[in-house]
Amino acid sequence: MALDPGIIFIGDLVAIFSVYLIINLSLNLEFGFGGVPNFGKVLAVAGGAFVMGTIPFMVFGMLVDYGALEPVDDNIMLVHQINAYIEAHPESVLGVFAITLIVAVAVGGLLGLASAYPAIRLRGDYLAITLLGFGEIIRIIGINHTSLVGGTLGISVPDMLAFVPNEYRFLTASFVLLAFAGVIYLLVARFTKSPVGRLLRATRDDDLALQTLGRDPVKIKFKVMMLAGMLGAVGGVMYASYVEGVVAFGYDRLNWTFLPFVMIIVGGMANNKGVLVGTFLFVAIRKLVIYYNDSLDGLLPFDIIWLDYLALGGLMILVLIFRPHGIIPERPQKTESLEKG
Amino acid sequence: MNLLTVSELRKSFGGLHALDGATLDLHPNKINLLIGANGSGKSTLINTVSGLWAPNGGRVTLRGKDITGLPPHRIFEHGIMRTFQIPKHFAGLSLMENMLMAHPEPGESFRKALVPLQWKSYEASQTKKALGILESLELLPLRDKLSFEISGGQIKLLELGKTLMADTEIIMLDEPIAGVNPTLAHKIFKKIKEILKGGVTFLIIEHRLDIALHYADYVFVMGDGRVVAHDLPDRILDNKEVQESYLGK
Repeated sequence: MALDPGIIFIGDLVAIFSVYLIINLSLNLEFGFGGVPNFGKVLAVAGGAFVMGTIPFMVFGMLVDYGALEPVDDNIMLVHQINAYIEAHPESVLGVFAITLIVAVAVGGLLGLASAYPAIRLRGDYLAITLLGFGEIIRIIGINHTSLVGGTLGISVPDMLAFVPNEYRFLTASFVLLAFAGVIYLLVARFTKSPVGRLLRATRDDDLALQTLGRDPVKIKFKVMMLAGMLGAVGGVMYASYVEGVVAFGYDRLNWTFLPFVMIIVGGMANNKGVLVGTFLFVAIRKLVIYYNDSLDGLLPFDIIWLDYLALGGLMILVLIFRPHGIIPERPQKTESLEKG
Repeated sequence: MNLLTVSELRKSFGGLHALDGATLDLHPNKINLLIGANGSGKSTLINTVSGLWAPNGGRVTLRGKDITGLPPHRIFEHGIMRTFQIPKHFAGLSLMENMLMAHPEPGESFRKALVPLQWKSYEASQTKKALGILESLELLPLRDKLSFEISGGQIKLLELGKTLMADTEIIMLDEPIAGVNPTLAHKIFKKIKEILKGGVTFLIIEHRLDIALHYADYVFVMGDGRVVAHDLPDRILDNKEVQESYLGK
């Protein structure tokens, strides 16, 4: 049974929205709240995706007899074999996916730490440019180190939902992603409502003043970059498992650094609801433009492929002119909410 | 044992010796006023003692313990708080949040953040304390305003409120009444006198001697990076060294 194009549209919208929501929440933590302009957001995302491209093969290797098959060289055949195993043993997915997520979180945290270490004592532009450099490194490693995720060709990864009947498979994936994103949203919202949220905003506003009030901003920035790295890596795992593959070329700074920045700036920084709105708006506009590409072709005085960049860029400029603090601006916590014991 | 002792403190910027062997001994539980002409090294002294800048020589001791050159957050942990000549506040935070930032809280731990049980009651008691302080400073109605929305005089009051929240033993104020009208200036110093009763010790830099000398318990005078004189406030202006440092020889 073929799925209705409308269902595919909505399912894909939900899935991509969920992936970006996770990544944008993590960027908002470090940039919107903590003031660390992480122009290397792609680092953690790609780190998570690469974990998804390697760890499941290792773990399934303990359950399935691969014979002479290699994850990268005999990728398609091996994935096929693993998917067949998943169909027969759906319960194995829970363990494998959990292990993959745990490794991804660890890798994301380490990448956050590694990029923070040389960068954190820098300020403003220098910090941003150093982090940008870190983001570039991982893609280059992924492309050139073929045994990691297949180099320029990329690899397919096992379908964690291979046990779901074909006609429900697609929507189940969207639903699972949305559930993950929802849980992460609630956790992040709870986290930023605590005194840590205030601490991070204070670090962003004036780290010198903060230092004279007994806190160590360097330590705080380390922690927030590690945490954001962990969440970013979860986003990477989610995306790679949704598209069932990892291609290092895909982890570029446009899609996984600049677009997240645009989404949180438009939605409203240091405000999780703003991130929600900005992410939804952007993903929806992008999908709509791509969906209606064909019907608009010829009506516009320029090539249709530029339409989504133009639309998104235009929207960002409009928001910056008319609502410079985003659609839902940052709001300090009201005293009443602090008072409740 | 002496509370805070600064001995032979040196700080140079290239060839400029901003501190050239400054020595002073704070009088505990008193308002210690630090005066001197522009460029005599008053702010440099506070910046160096509070850990903002590492000294090139000399020692700072707190109750005999060497705290020379520690980073600012460690100095704060030792019980020394400072304010800045141009008030530093968290512009994106409300007044109340600024107040709460003046003292570290258990809820600021990344690990405890998701478990409100571990910090809610502390946060509530700190909030109550802050409300009381804001009320006494007549800032209560502004508590949910962002700190960049209030006036310069109110910012000065907020700084004072933060010192009360911080609850440190020693408070160093860099020009607490600069740019403030005389009525408010007196109010600020009266408030400082009140805080003094809590057992704290003040080191205050101030240029407006007409007002500040009135409230000071003891006065240190700086000139050319050294403490050139110290005396009781009613005698200090007769000191020849002081006159020279302000007016030249």
